[in-house]
Order: sequence, then C-alpha cells, then structure tokens
Amino acid sequence: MSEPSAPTSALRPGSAEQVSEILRESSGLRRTLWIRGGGTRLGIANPAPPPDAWLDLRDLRGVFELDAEEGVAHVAAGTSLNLVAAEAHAAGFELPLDPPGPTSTLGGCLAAAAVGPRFPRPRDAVLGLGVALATGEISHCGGRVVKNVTGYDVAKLHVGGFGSLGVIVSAWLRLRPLPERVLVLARKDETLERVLAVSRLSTARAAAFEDGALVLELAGDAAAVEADRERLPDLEEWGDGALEAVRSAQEAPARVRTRVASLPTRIVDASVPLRDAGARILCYPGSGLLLACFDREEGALEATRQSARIGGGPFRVEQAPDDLLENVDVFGDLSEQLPLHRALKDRFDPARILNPGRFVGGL
Amino acid sequence: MSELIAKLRDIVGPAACLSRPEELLVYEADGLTVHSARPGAVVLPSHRDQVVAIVRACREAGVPFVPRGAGTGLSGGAVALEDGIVIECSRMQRILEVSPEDRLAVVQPGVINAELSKAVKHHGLFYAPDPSSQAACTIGGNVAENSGGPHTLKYGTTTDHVLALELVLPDGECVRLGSPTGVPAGLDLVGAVVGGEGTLGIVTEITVRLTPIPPRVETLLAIFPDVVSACRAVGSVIQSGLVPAALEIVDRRTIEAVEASVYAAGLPTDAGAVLIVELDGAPEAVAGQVERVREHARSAGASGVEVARDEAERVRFWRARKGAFGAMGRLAPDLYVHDAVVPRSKLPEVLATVCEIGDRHRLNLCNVFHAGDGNLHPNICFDRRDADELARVMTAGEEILRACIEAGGVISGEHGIGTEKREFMGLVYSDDDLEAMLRLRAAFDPERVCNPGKVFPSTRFCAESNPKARGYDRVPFE
Ligand SMILES: Cc1cc2nc3c(=O)[nH]c(=O)nc-3n(C[C@H](O)[C@H](O)[C@H](O)COP(=O)(O)OP(=O)(O)OC[C@H]3O[C@@H](n4cnc5c(N)ncnc54)[C@H](O)[C@@H]3O)c2cc1C
Repeated sequence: MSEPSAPTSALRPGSAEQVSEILRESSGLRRTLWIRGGGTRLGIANPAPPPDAWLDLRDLRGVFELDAEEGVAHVAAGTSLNLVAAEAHAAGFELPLDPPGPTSTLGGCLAAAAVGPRFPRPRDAVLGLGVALATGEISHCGGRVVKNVTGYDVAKLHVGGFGSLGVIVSAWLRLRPLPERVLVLARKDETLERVLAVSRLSTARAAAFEDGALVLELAGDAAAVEADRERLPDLEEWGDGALEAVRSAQEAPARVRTRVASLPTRIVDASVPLRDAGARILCYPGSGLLLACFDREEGALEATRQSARIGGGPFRVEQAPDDLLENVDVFGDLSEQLPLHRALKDRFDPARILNPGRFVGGL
Repeated sequence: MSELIAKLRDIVGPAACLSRPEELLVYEADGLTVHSARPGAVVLPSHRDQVVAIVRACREAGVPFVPRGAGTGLSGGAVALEDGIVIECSRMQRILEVSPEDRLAVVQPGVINAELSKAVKHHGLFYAPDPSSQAACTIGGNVAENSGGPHTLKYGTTTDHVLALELVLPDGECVRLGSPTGVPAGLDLVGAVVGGEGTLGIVTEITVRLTPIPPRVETLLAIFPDVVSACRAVGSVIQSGLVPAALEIVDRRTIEAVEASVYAAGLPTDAGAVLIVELDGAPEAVAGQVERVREHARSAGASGVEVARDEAERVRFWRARKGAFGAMGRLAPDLYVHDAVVPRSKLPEVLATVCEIGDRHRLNLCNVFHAGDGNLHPNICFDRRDADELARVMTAGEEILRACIEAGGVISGEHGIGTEKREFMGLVYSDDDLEAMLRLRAAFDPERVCNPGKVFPSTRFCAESNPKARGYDRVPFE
C-alpha cells in the first residue's frame, strides 16, 4: 500500500515516558495512531483508513550504552541504524542488521523484521526490548545478557509485529565482532543452481542473484575466507559497491513488489511463475527469499501465490496499488493462524489504536 | 475425576492411561526433586488426534493438564499441580521426515534429542542444540524450555533451530505455526511458543533445522591456577573475535569431585580451574585458531594447555565437564542444579560470591558453567530428607539468584522458571513486564488450563523488582 499523503497530525515524543503518555491517552480516546520510524517500510500494510495521528519515533534517539567487553548495546528505537552501525564499528563490532534504507531507524527495522542480503533474521540481533504497550505501560522483555529463558520470549512478537502489538522504544542488541576478512565477489552468467551451492560455503555471509549475476560476500576467519575464495576461481573481486548495488536493486521502484520464501531445493522452481509473469527477481538463496518486482499489475499476485505454493513458504505483498488488494491480505494466506493473531491483538491493543487495519487479517 | 479417567482410557486405551498411586509415583517430580505433586492421572497419547481428544476431555471436566517429555526438566515444569492430568509425549517418537538437501527434519515431540543427531549423521548433518541431558530429554521438552547446551555459544539455543510447529491449543484446536522455510507469515508465533514452558499448548510436531557437521573439530584443555584467570582467558578469546563452539569452565571443587569418581579424567587436583575450548569449522581456519586460543590461555595465566590428539582424548577432556553431574551425584542422594546468567565480565566476582554463599551455609557446592555466555550452574549436593540441610539449600539458592541479578543478570539461562523460580520473577521483572507476558499467555490460554501454576508468581506481583539490575535503569533520551 502506498504511504498516505496528508497525515492529520504528528506526535513526536522525545522519551519513552512521553510515548507511554500518548498511548495511554490515545487508548482512552480511541485515537488511532500510525507508527513510523524512518519510513522505509511503511508501504507494507493492508489498506486502511488514515489514522487520527502519526506517532513519529525519530526523536527517541541515542545509543545509551555500548559495552565493548560484552559486545552488547542499548539503543533508543528512533536512532538511525547507520549511526548505530557506525558506533558499533568504531568499537570493533558490526551491527547484524541490514539497513533497509539510509533513513531507517532501529525500531522500524525491528518492527518490520526488515531483511537485506546479509542478515536474514533481525530477531537474532535482539537480546531485549523496551516496549510501550497500547495501554501505556512500558514493559521490558529479555535483558542485556546473551542467554536468557527468564519468562516468555515476548520480544519475538514485536520483531516483525509491525507495531501492531506495542511500540518498541528501545532495544538491547547483540553485536558481532568485525570479521577478520571480508571479500566481495561477483560474476555474470551464473545459474541459480550454482548460486545455491555457493551460498552454502562456510564463510558465505551474503549471496544475491539477479538477472544472471551473482554477488557473493565471504566474511570471517581470514584463512577460511581465503580457502573458500580458492574454490571460486572464476569469480571476480569487487568492492563493497556490489553489495550496495544489491541493496538498491531491493528498493528499486516498481508497480508491484512481492516477496516469497522458499525451501532451498524449490527455489529454482518457485522462481518460474514469477519470471513468467514478467517479474525482475532478486534472490537471496542463503535465506530462501525471492523478491519480485513487477512493472504490470496483471498476474503479479497470482504468480506470487503460485510461487509460494511451490516454494513451501509464505508470501508477502510489499507494494501494490490499493485497488489490487481488495481480496488479498498483503501478509499472505494465514487463515489457520488468524485466530491467534486476533487474540493477541485483543489482549495487547484492545482499543485498536496501533496501526489499525494495517496488519495481518486487517487487524 | 474417575469419569474423566474413564474417558481418557477410551481415548488412549487402558495401557496408556496410568492412575494407580504406584504408577503415578515417578510423575510426582521432574529433575527438580524438591518440588513434587501427584497428578490425577497420566496419559500417553501416540498421535496428535489423541492429544486433541485428551485436551477436550480435560476441558469438559474442568481439569488442568500438563505436557511432559522425559521429565528431565530442572524447574518443575512437567509436574501437574492440583491433581491435573499429565500428557506424556514419549510415545510420539517418530522422525517423520528428513530432508538433507533442505537441511531440515520433521519430528514428533517425544523424539530423544540425541537420537535425531544419530539418525541424520549419515547425511553429514546434526541437530545442534545439545543439552547435557540429550541422551534422555525430548525435543518437545527442549522446545518448551528453549534448551541450550555447551555448544550454544556458537550454534544458539533451541529457538534458533525450530522452523515450524504443530500445536494443540489449550482449547483443543490444532494449528500450524511458522513455515519450513523459517520465515513466518505474520507474527513470529513459533518464536513466542518456544520457551513457553508448556503453558501455551501442546507441541505435537516440530520442524527443525539441521546443521552440517563441521569438517574439523579441535578440543583444548587449559589448566589455570584459579577461576579468575580462566575467566580472563574466556574474555580475551571472545574479545579477539574468535567464536569457539564451546567455552566451558570447571572449578576446583568440581575437579576434586570428578577425580575422586569413576569419571576421573586425569586432571591435576591442585588446579584452580579447567577451561575446555572447542573449535570447529573449516580445517584451514581451525588450525590457526588453536594456536590463538593457546596464546590467550597462556597470557591469562594457564599453567598448561593440551590439545586432544584423538577422539579418546577428546572424550577424556569432556569427561571433566560432563562427568560433573555424575560425580556430584555420588556424594549425596540429591543434586540441585542451579542456572543463572550474568554478563561475562562479572563471572569472577559472582563466582566468588556463589562459593562464599555455599560455604556460609555449610553446603557442598561446586561450579561447572558455560563461561562463554555467562551461564552459571552452581551445583549443590544434599540430602532432602535432612530438613535443616534442605532449608539451607533453599536459602542459598535464593541468595545466589539475588547475587546474579545484582550483577546485571537473569535467573535462568536454560532451565526455565517452572515452579522453581516463579516467586522470584518479581526480582527481575516489573508488574508491567509481567503484564505483557500475561497477555501472551491469555491469548493462547485464557482460562489457564494448560500447565497452570508455572512461570508467573502466585501473588500479583512482587514490589521488589529491580529494573536497574537488568540494565534498564532510566536513561535520558538524547
Ligand atoms: C543431568 C541433566 C543435565 C541437563 N543439562 C541441560 C543442559 O545442558 N541444557 C539445558 O537447557 N537443560 C538441561 N537440563 C534440563 C532438561 O533436560 C531440559 O530442560 C529438557 O529440555 C527437558 O526435556 P524433557 O523432555 O525432559 O522435558 P520435561 O522435563 O518432561 O518437560 C519440560 C517442560 O516442557 C514441557 N513440555 C514437554 N513436552 C512438551 C510438548 N510436547 N509440548 C509442550 N510442552 C512440553 C513440560 O510441560 C515442561 O514444562 C538437564 C537436566 C538434567 C537432569
């Protein structure tokens, strides 16, 4: 769905406490809110009437703590991902999240479970979350330690929850030591079959395949990277730019954009209906994702559904004109799980103020 | 109750429904022997439809039910309070599918953890989560506790390896969550159910990720004059960017117990601590890493570092770690295995406090722990028939948990809360934190019929919450 043009008003809290006040008040007034960070993933939503106000989290900024001894960081949700990554880098770590765009915030990236070529599961970076509940309470789950089964793992509901169950205000993140060696390789005229095999090399951190071209990033122990590199004599060395090109391909403008998750062995077959419908396909074989861009609306959704059926995973519509979405849930066909989604929404957002109508099943 | 039992008999057959007191005895506790309660009956379903029917029958009768695996849990999770029905999943033990190309397996919940790795070994794959109890515990139990093990440091815990679940909800509906691709549609409900301690429903099928067996494994054993220097070595290894598969420390007291037992590994009994390091991966990488670890250990003060020359030696090194439970078990009838996590840099001071607590309460306490992720396991051997000793064990346990929280840690890293630690939840979480967990619970089990009396404190809630300890002290926004 496209971003609404004229938001009624924008609330810009500067602290978690202010978020909490806004939510408590909004729940009481039944004032509906659309929550936003950097705005790079706002389009992934079911069509819904515009909200009473925007809740803009970009003033919740700051890296509160970066503990280089433990390799963990505590960061406010509105902080720019690029800024967190830069601070982590300066301390000898990498932030294991792919920024969806230059303006992305940490909270937005986590709420949308945004993925890129390198890191397929944003949840892996999360040790704990601070979440403002729709009813105003500020709740914390997890913590700063790297292993934790103290109570339920509630954070999993918010990562990828698109702000439907609460507003992420801060996160404890697990950073990774910078790899000893990183090497970006590329080659044209590859087949998806070979790309699949290559993506399973032990140091393959990112693999992307588009239009016959492979971009592969090896990272890790220097000796292991070198050993893998020697297995690929026909690939050329490229700079970081190749990965940047992949990122921009992921965000390239399109009329309709969809995403299909597939089992590794079915990814070749799953790509066929998409291609037949005229899509440009960016494939992340390591994470089993097919990202399809269509310039025409006709057949796009049918091809996506068909592809997902073959691939054995869910699909998602990341962008499409509203009229195309009349009988489609952009989050895929998940009828069986719908009652649980509804029950969670009932408990976490009884007044239906958080992104109402936009999430799974129009919740 | 007798009417319900008759119904349950009809569902699973008389041989799979236990209700005589002598049959129920072994179900009164799990691995945590200090908490016990007798169930009303135990049923052993052999497939999902029976689970559905059992759940419906229990609900109609208004009787709570508790899923159970092998009963090796250490927090009382599989014990039925208030005469509830235990649904033991051990008969659902089939590996339904192995897909080596897609690196996944579909299993029933009663499959024993180690059996899965055995069954897929010829494909060059294994199931990575490896709790020390893996020869006995079930994957269903692992899912409920989000179990870890020595190799969690590199490979992650159970949650990192579960792709999809089939779950019988507490109202008897059966749902499939997640997808074999690991990408959820909508909310990550699989992620929420893993670690749910059997309170969110009964898992009847699990799709797990399989991992390639690393082509090369090296195991090192380093001997240190004291636990502080061993911890220092762990810190410097991790800070150097190395990610060993395991970093385990065994303290002096454990070494003494192990060496005096049949598990003797030939360790010097005057050593202050032993560090076991396992490195695995590409052969080209591992060779160099062994040398780097050796250097880190030496600079941290190790008096000796050995590298296992063959499988026999590797097994001997691990015996120092894995024999600890057995060796401790020899010393007294009961063993209390504690579990808490602290930031790694706090390990030395917390360990000193833990030992002081044990000494002050005149207890036989020793430590083996997953040093790489700050996961402590103080073990106390005792005799629960000795009321005074039991009281000291319980007081010491609470003091240990408080010391860990004080250091910025949490009260469970892998064993869960169960009945054991429910009253301590308020030490870690505020009312609002627990409120969010209760909402999750309520969405799955509004009437709290599935494993009631677990995880949450009995009183609403403790005023002592200490958010600062978790690192959530009020921080100014920029
Ligand atoms: C010697 C020893 C060593 C141990 N080492 C470790 C270790 O290294 N790491 C670790 O993490 N743990 C360890 N444990 C603890 C224990 O083995 C784990 O918690 C294990 O996962 C429990 O599995 P189980 O099959 O015995 O489950 P049970 O003890 O039977 O049950 C545990 C919990 O799971 C729930 N449950 C069981 N089956 C299902 C199902 N099908 N659906 C939903 N819920 C279910 C139960 O209700 C209960 O809450 C150890 C225990 C012992 C005795």
